[in-house]
Amino acid sequence: MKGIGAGLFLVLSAWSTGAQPPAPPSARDLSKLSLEELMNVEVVYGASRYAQPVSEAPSSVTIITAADIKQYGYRTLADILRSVRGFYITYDRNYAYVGVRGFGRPGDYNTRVLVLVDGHRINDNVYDSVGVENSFVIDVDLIERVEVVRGPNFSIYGTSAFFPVIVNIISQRGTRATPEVAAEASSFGTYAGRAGYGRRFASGLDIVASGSLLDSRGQDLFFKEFDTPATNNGVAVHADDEYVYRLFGSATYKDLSVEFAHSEREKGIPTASYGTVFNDRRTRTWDGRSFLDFKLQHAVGADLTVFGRAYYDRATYRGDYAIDYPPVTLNRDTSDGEWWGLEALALYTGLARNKLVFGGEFEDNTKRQQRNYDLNPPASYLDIGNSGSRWAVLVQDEVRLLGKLILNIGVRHDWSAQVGGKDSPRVAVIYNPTTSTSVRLLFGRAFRPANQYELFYATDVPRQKPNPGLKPETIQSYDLVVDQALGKGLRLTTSAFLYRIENLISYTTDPLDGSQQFQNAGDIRSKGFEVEVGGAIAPRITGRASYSFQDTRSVAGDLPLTNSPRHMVKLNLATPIWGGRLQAGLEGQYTGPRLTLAGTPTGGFSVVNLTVLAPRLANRLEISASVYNLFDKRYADPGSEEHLENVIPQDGRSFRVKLVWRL
Amino acid sequence: MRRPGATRTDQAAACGHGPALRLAVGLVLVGAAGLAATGPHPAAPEYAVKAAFVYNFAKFVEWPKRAPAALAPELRICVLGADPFAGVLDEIVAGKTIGERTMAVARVERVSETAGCAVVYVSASEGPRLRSVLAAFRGRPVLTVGDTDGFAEAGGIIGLFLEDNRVRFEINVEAADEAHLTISSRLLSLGRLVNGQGR
Repeated sequence: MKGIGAGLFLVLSAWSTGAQPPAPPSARDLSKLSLEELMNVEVVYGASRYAQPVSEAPSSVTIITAADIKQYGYRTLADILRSVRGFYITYDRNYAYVGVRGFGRPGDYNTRVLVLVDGHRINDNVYDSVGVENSFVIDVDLIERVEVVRGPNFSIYGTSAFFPVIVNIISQRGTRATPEVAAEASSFGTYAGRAGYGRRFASGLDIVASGSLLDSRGQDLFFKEFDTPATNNGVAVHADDEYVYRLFGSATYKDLSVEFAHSEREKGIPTASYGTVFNDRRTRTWDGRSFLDFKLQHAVGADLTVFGRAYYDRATYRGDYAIDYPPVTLNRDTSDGEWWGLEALALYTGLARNKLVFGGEFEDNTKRQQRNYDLNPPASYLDIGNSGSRWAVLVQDEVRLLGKLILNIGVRHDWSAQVGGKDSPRVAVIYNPTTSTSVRLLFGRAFRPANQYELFYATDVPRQKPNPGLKPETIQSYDLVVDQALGKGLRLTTSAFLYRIENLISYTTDPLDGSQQFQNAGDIRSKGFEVEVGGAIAPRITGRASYSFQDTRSVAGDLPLTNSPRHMVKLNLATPIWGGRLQAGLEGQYTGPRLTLAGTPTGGFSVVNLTVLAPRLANRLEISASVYNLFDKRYADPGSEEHLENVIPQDGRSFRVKLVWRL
Repeated sequence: MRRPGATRTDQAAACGHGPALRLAVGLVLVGAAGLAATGPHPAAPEYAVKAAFVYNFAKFVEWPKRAPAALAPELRICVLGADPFAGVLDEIVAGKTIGERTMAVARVERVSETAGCAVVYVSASEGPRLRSVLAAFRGRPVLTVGDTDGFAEAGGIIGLFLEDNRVRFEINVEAADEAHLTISSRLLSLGRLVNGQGR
């Protein structure tokens, strides 16, 4: 156990007691392995907010490790998620949006998928959004592990865990992070550097610190929709640029840890979104995100472990938009969110056959400000802010009915002034008939209150009206997961899901006056299945291959949703080459056709990425070289409401070289 | 962003199902090969793996000939504090012998009960008082193993930790010397060596 630094999720397993019945099964096999073999056995976790074998977790979990991040040359959280079964990313050259299991609403700022860093919620308090490109709050180089947890999680994680898929990121501790400097150069004039420090002292004090910069000129992009002499023949010059800096620090000592993160990103918008002037470099966004998080984990005797957390968060956004009213005027759109909160959780294992979790949370949103105004001549269109708190209590029990049958029941009660009190249950039945088979049936219900943006955002041009009467949207989800070990080192995971979302909060046009507004716009039904084979695929080759099918439709009219591929295939293979001095990582991703807002399908596409890593080229030097989109496949993502472009072309072949020098 | 200036509404029109599914090149072949192949390293629960390590450590350590642990008829592994192994450790050592000695697992609540123990696994439940526990074993021919953060640096002999989702271990050579334990070179070559007295 690497201490609380490793996060809430790992630690608790250390405290499980003899109340647990025997016995995780592969003991006999394990005792026959040599030390060298044992060192290669992968350890698995789960996600009930305490560690458990994946076979007992009320979910289906995919884990991406620090080694995978290096091996496949991942640059952003978006790159990581792209490789995960069931996920797809839509990039509009301003922000990247996560789609999962067929659900990726154009104009949805990742509001329905919870992202955590060391148990700390990253979604903000105005849009519920998370940036997964370079506006993500920590560097991917600082990630120890990403756990993608599929299954109803709301009852235990609450706010933002609306969609039954969460992304839980564990940051590195000083035992992994080393003093190092890194430099990288990529296509499109992109340069990045990072200096990091990590150490665990003999006293037990564990410290990590990191700072990084990224500067990208970006491309001069052509958009055929603007191919007229008046708009520079469709070429947006130097309007795809990007600047990022990030700071991170963590300190862990015994039961206590403190973590700090801050990031700022500036990005040019080359697409002339929101009806802005094409090829005007002033149109761009700035996003800032920071948090300070204190954690306490303490064992009170052998049967009780308590966790506490106190946090302060800030999320800022500013967008400048050159709009031709006329004359061309710079319009500024901003948001500023500030909040703090407390969490307490207790795990009690003193009752035979039971693992009980109790918890409570309180969050106070001290600032949720949205503004929109013209700079010159000054004119204000929106200046609205409010505060508000919410609290929740939760209880969960994992009951081992028989040795092979586990029942996991949880319920959460949320309260806020906006929606009053609401209960969200989860029921999971987990049956492990043999040592190599695990069957899990999961049901959950969750809700998402409309966020501040959906409720109150309003502007005159274009005309958008607020809708303070928005009801929460709700989801009911059913998941069936079957994990099967296929002989040594290979796992087969199959899962099927059925979701029903009611009162989906959607951006719609009012037929009466043509204005736009968020409304509770009907119900959505989503069903699908996933198959994945992973592990030691062949001697010296590890990896995973998956296929996922999803069918997501509006209940009224039975029409498929936009930006929802029916088919996806993912392939990741890694192998040592040149006698183990190098490692090669090959990645292939197929995304099926997606419907655009105009009702035409984008073409399906396959992208192949290749990374070669030299972990120790010299004693202290690590070098990696990556080619993204190796075969230069031309493909495009669907545009959103704010784009004139029906589809937005994506990058062709590009390169990156990265050096890490360990001090 | 965040400034919806739309000119179009979301028309959920009927999806032409588009071209048939095209698999990534070679995926089918690789997948099929994968199904037939058998790799060497399964995934397993953390504490099952750690239990297997503890068993292996006992095989690669020699106790001084006159130590009580060496003279006892069975090699006893004691779990001090809350047992995280949930029976797996018992299952692993059941029927195993080291030399001519059988192996056994015992659970103990306090240091004073560890008299006949060759290996003491210090549970994470002892974390708050780790230093005093380890100080009590100092110089005694007992192999202390644990997975508390900084276990070996605090004076424990072998500390387990996780890296890349795999179990690794570190050895406090000084502490092993003081305990008059001989650790095999194989173990030393696989583990990470640390120093520290926990003082």
